[in-house]
Amino acid sequence: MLFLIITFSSCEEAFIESDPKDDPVVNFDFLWSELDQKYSFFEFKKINWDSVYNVYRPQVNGNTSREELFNLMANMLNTLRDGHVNLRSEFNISKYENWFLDYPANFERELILYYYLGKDYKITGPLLHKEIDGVGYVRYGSFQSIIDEDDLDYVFTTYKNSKGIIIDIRGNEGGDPANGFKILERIVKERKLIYRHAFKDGPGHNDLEPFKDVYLEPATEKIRYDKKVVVLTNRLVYSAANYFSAICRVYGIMLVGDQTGGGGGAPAGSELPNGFHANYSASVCLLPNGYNIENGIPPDIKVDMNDEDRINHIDTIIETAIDQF
Amino acid sequence: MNRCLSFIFVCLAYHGFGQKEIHLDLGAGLTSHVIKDDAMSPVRYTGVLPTVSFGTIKTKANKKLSEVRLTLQYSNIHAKAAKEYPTMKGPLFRLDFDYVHLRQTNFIKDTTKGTFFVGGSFHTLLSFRFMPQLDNSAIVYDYFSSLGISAAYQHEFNWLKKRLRHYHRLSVPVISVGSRPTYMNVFDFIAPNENDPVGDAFDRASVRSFGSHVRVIFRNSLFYPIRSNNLIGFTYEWQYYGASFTVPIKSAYHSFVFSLLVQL
Repeated sequence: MLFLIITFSSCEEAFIESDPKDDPVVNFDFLWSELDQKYSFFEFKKINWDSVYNVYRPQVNGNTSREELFNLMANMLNTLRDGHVNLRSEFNISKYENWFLDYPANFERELILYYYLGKDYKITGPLLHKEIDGVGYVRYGSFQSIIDEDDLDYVFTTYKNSKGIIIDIRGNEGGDPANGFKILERIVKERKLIYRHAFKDGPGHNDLEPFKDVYLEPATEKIRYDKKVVVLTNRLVYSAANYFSAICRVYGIMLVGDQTGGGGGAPAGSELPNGFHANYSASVCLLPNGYNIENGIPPDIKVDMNDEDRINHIDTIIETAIDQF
Repeated sequence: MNRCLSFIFVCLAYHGFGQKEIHLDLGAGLTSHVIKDDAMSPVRYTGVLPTVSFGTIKTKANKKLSEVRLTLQYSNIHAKAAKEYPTMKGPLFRLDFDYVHLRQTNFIKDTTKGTFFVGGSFHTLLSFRFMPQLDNSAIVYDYFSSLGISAAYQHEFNWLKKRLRHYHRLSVPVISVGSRPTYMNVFDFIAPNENDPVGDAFDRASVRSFGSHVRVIFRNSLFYPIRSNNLIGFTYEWQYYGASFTVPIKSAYHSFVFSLLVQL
């Protein structure tokens, strides 16, 4: 039996390749190659990835330390200008954040807490809500917080006699898109093509699987909300919240505030031989009119928070939204 | 075509269950895995997994031999670099179902007073890994249901006044229905009500021959008789499988299982 174990262990060594060398150059090349073959927006963003390699690869050699390598890789990934692209290690996580840092915040949490929600608002699941000037104000801060059907039953029933509702998703960096679908299926009145999306399916920059048409069906059997709905957005609305805004655009649900931050590619991940992990966009999503949602959804009414209003404890974007009812 | 083959496989499996068994085989042990799965990592993952198996073994006057066995394994696997970065690891769940039906053959001339068997076999392999560090590509899987050929050799010998049985079997699946992750392995969570990883995995199953799905199962058992015609068994099994799908995988294991065989 020992003979068999030794024999088969040798077979394993022959059949299964051994690990790549844990060398800075090998790891750098692996990361560059993974992105080259799997990242979905090179063409859309007009990025010459070979040129990026030529800039960063000469800076890596066998003596590059783990932290130096991480920083170089992070800088290389930041050329993709994508919030879904990051690199993770035991000591740091790199992120590209210019998609919101380069723009006005257009959201002040304390202003809402102190002067709009005050002391008598309700918390239903992940939703904070209150009637303001006859309009239901509903704040949904993160799609990572799961909303359930009972939450929506309660909120939509609460504001059935209001003039309408404002859904404030400013600062919502995403999570599970299913949370957005749960809300919107109770608001929309007809089945519509909401977007078309395709995942990468090959190593070429344009190798995408056939685009798949995605439809949203109204949930007629659930408690619905048939009055006017306005959605508040800013640059920190990203990923699943960007999808939510995109669907609102398709259905003509009014968006007020700033353009969303984007994040139109579903993120996938890769592991490097040295244990770093990279995440990156792996799909393309287009609205029915062909608009690529990667760089965000423009609002119907573009309005920034005004400093004078802020001093007077007024959220310009909320006030603009209330004026629409 | 896929559904038709799946139906045939399932029918064969039921046929196996329907046969009269002689020994109920209850086993427990450990299995050492090596996996190199491009859907997970460019490096090898290894792990030692607790293993339990349930099955039956039927022999009929050294003319026929059939085995039905379900084997379950679950534990963490990890890469060498996991010491530096704790998330380079994740759980592996594996289920194997094997049905082997053999008949004695005189085609191979034996000089050791043993018995040669040849026959067919059915094998199902389901392996899930969960790698949360891979974001939306965290669920990595293999599924194969295969029809194959098997050959075995069995002989008995005396040791400490007991009659021991030594059994060797080699099984090689020939045609399979199999499913592996797609190029990106991201499930369709951005379409309402379409986040169905299990359904997607079965939908994309395709028929594969030996060229694109290679699997070898070598089983070596020693049975020691105890009271009432029951047996104690020790089995060493080596398996290798590789799939040259869109995202390739190569995996092998050494399994060591002690079992109690209760005569029915």
